[in-house]
Amino acid sequence: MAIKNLSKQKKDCGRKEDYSMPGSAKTMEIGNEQSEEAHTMPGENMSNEDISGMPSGGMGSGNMSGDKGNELSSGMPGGNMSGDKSSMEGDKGDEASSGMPGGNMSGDGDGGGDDGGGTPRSRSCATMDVHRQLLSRYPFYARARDEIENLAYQYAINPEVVQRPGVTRIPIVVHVVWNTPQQNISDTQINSQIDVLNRDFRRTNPDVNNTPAPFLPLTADARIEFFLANVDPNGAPSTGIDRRQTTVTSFSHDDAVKSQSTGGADAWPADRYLNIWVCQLGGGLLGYAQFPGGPVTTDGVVILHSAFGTTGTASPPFHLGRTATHEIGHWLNLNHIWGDDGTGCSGTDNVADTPNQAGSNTGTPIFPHVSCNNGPNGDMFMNYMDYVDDPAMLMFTAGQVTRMQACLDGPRSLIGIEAGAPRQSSSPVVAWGANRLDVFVLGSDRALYHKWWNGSAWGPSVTGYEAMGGVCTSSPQVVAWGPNRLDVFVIGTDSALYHKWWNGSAWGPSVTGYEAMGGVCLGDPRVVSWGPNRLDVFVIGTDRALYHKWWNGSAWGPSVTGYERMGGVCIGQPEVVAWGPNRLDVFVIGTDRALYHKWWDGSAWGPSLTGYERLGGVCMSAPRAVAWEANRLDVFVVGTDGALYHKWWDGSAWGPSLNGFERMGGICVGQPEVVAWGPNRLDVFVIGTDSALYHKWWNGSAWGPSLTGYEAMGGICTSMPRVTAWGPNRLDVFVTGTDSALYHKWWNGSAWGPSVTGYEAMGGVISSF
Amino acid sequence: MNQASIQGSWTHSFEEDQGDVQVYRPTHSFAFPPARGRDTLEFGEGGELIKQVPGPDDRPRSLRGNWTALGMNRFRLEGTMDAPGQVIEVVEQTTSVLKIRKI
Ligand SMILES: [Zn+2]
Repeated sequence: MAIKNLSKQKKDCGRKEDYSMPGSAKTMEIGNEQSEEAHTMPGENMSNEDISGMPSGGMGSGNMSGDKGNELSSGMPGGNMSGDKSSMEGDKGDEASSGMPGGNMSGDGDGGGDDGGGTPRSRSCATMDVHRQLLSRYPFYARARDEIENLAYQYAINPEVVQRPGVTRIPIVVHVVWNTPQQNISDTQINSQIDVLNRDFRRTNPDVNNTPAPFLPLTADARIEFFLANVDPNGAPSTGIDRRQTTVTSFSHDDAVKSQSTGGADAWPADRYLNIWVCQLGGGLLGYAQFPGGPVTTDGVVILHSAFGTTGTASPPFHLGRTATHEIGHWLNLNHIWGDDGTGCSGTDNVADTPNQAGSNTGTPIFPHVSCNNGPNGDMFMNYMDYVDDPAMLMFTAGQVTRMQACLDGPRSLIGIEAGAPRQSSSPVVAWGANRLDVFVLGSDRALYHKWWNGSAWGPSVTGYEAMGGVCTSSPQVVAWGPNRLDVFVIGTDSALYHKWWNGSAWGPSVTGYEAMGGVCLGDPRVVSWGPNRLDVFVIGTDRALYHKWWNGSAWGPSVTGYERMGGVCIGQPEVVAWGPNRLDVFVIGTDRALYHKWWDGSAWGPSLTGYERLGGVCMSAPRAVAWEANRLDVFVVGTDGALYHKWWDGSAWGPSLNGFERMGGICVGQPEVVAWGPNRLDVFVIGTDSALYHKWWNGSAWGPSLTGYEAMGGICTSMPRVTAWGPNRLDVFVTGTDSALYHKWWNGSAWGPSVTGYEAMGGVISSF
Repeated sequence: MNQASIQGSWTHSFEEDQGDVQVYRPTHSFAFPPARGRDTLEFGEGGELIKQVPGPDDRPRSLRGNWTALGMNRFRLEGTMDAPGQVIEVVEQTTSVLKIRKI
């Protein structure tokens, strides 16, 4: 992967424009209220019931009315079965980067997704001789290591290129491989280790304040947190603890503990989990690690059980969990602070802000300990990457943090994002990575148009669009199953489904071409990706049943143009969300306007292939669902009184009840939009009867501005709000205005841009969004 | 003290170091407490030397070289990565301990 030279400019810098939408009243008050937060929406009836069933919610059967219960893998009714046209009808074959018809023709022709950035440079610093010897024996590993070091060097000289914002949360699986009952350490001991990691990698360990004064300013927050995985590789709920009894009385440093065939436990997929093996180790060894770039089956760290955590079998002087901190440092590409050259002064840890140091320190050294002319402050022996006792190590430096972040952006780029990360349903707006946005609209000619934010500028220009061909009858639905990957689905004039994709370097099948996927669809498709190279598409057929097709990484199921029939008689658009790998939750509205639910648990559809769980209500909008963590669902609909209603799955039951909804006030037009930028966080956007945008949020403990209140965000909107969050505490909202142009506003973590009620004008004449 | 008696495998018991005197104990019979890493010197019968050191990932790594007796309790260790032409002086030796000083 080429090194990206992303400039870390914040997008709200240098944006002076502060547009209000056309026709927008310039005030943010509703009626005569003061412009404080906590507005109610116009027309809102002020009844304050917190948790109610929705008005006239019926209690019907568990299956949707009219469900014909047909079997899987049929073509859709009326489906055009002839089709492998690779272009949609009416495709005019326009090329990239034009302004939209009737739009501002200011496209600057800067086509394509991202810029490749600078070329890799060789690292000029010395490396460890021992390591080099190993490298020469394993050429493949050597090549991978070279790339990793080139990236780390780029980051070291230019730390602003770090891509991950905020805190990366890494799922851990702890393989407890035990021979004697004592070695079968308790959950408490395991949790005590996780707690240590979450302090040490966030610089919240109290003993960081014992850092000698000259080194204290160098201490840094690594912005990494860890948690026991709550989903296993197959998508099943998990404790993140894998216990295996073994006949092996003591393991060596030969990786035997990492394979069931040699008495250990097999690794979970290393691209998604940090594997930690805890066992009896011989030879007085406390632990060992594997650097990034090595074989996936042995990736992770191994820790002696009595050097793991802070309680149970943990024994002084290695009883503070620092062995795991040190080994995970290696796993994130940190080298020993003395440079792994024995006791010489020529080795380097490839980090600039650690002093040159001769050999390892042990025990509890007295500051300063001078070597290699590094006085007066001497060795940074209190660094986690020296060999001192647990109570004596307490800090990472900023340079080490940059090196770890380079590892997270490079060789470990999938971890902490892919594992168990809930996936939102498709939308015309998607963010495939931090500080990246892709927006798709239909122009007045109903062709598809695209614009993107690359971290520093809008492409092809602020108000320009890339023309992508086609004549579409649905709003575009986009998902990103990985970085720099887009899959776009639309319905054509023949009501069939069409697909195109961005593979990181080019559009397939072509910039303006489409893959024909058959079917005769009503309304918009819905797409979700529960993992890398996986797509699940849901559409409503002419018989109003739900239909499903999927991409498994190598082929479309049940076939390129075929669909699996999933029963039901549905009104409007389905909604689908994936709270973890190999997990799907689908929501539809039935002919009785109640909400219905079905789910894929990794092996079967529940309650059955064509059956549905009835969740009550009388819904006047399509449902919108989001999962802010594994086994958590929040569903929003609009009721017959126009108010917003909410229900949730907490992992064991539906709240407020199976058929009940929480009433959230307002009088909403159209479908609500909801995103979760982090755990236990929800942001809901609706359009009011005055066509303005309104916002409310769940902050983990309460609804803001109040349970039934809304923050007024101005505008006169002609589309539902489309919102995405590319990082923690970040929101980007898109709507169309009365002039059919696109408008944008954003929350940067502390303020709304361009203002609470203002919008950035993004051009275009949009017919569907 | 004769040349044969230095033969065998000795592991650094750094907890017992006294100033510049490094204390080694028999690798296979001494009860070493756990450590992040220890150096081991294995003096072979024919003058071959295997030095084990903790590697960059904390796994022990073997480095091969030679040792020769210089007389006066001094020995030259050669060919390992981090000790080219190093000379050590044995300041005390029994079957249970080897104390050395780097010259
Ligand atoms: Zn280490």
